[in-house]
Amino acid sequence: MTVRNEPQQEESSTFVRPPKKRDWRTMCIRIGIIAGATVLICLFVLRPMVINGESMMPTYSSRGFTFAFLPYFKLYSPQRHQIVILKHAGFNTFLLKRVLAFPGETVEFREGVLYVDGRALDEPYVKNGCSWNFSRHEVPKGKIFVLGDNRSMPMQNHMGGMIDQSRLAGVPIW
Amino acid sequence: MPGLHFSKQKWFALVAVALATAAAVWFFYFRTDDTIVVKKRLREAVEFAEKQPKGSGFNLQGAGAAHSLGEFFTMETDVSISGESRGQTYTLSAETRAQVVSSYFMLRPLITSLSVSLAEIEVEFKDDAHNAASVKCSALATGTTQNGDYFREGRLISAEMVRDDGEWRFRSLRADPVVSFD
Repeated sequence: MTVRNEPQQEESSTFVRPPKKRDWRTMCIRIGIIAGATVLICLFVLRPMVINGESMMPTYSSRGFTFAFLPYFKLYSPQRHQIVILKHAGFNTFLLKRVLAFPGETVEFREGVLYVDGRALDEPYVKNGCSWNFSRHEVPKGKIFVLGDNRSMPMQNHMGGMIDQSRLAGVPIW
Repeated sequence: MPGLHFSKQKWFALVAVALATAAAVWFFYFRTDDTIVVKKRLREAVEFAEKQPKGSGFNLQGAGAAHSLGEFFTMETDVSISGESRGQTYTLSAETRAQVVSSYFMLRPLITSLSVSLAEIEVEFKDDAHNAASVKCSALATGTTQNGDYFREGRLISAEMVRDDGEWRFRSLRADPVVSFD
């Protein structure tokens, strides 16, 4: 009697088995970690923002969306002409403005032209001229002078001017 | 009980979770210290200042709200609220509780609705007995005027509060715009 030791043919078909209890647990943990990381990133690093208002037109439309990069001012200082996001009241409402002057500098508007320390500031982003007049003011220590790009609105309707530097929250990423 | 045969380790884990939950509930809802009492008092004052859209202005409800709001101020007080409206800079001021009540009673009919949310509240006690405190916070006021204009204004609030007849009251209150040209 001969015994042939032939290798058994392996089954080639794939089959699906119901997930084991441990698989569910792993999946839940992964989903939890991803959700937690997303929440932390949105709260402390890249915060989604809905833009509402016309003060930054035409640079930003009256309705838009961006992300605020929150750690920016922990790494860098604000620059002139830079668009920044400022805490308005609490951590749910923010202002989107452009930085125009720093502590110790003087600002004034003459017939719609902004003068910083007596010199006219070139503002290529301002598309709508204005005839604003604003007497010379010195930016106090600890504050910055910010303003929106849309100068076609009356000055009184603008939420701009001196604001505490501590309210700088971040920069828009686009 | 069938189905509840936990190992000792799991029982420990369950008890630890239950204790942590109870501690969190106590910490967020039942813990009381003077800082929390002052913050709560601040929020109560804001609730009396708010106005629901359906509430009417010149009536007993308005008088009641004004009177209740007045209770949050000491008899001699110093209130200064500045802002801009329609191109005009304004400052509302009051030096007595009665003036606070009458000012609010006069202003209330001018707005249809008012909602105020407070944030970044900082409380610093002036003395060891915790009878006086300096409070700073930011406030966001949203609402509509009688003309139908919608407003959304941020203010920086700085206040001096004192314990008066067992209640925390405003000895002074300042509300300045977060950002202004001046």
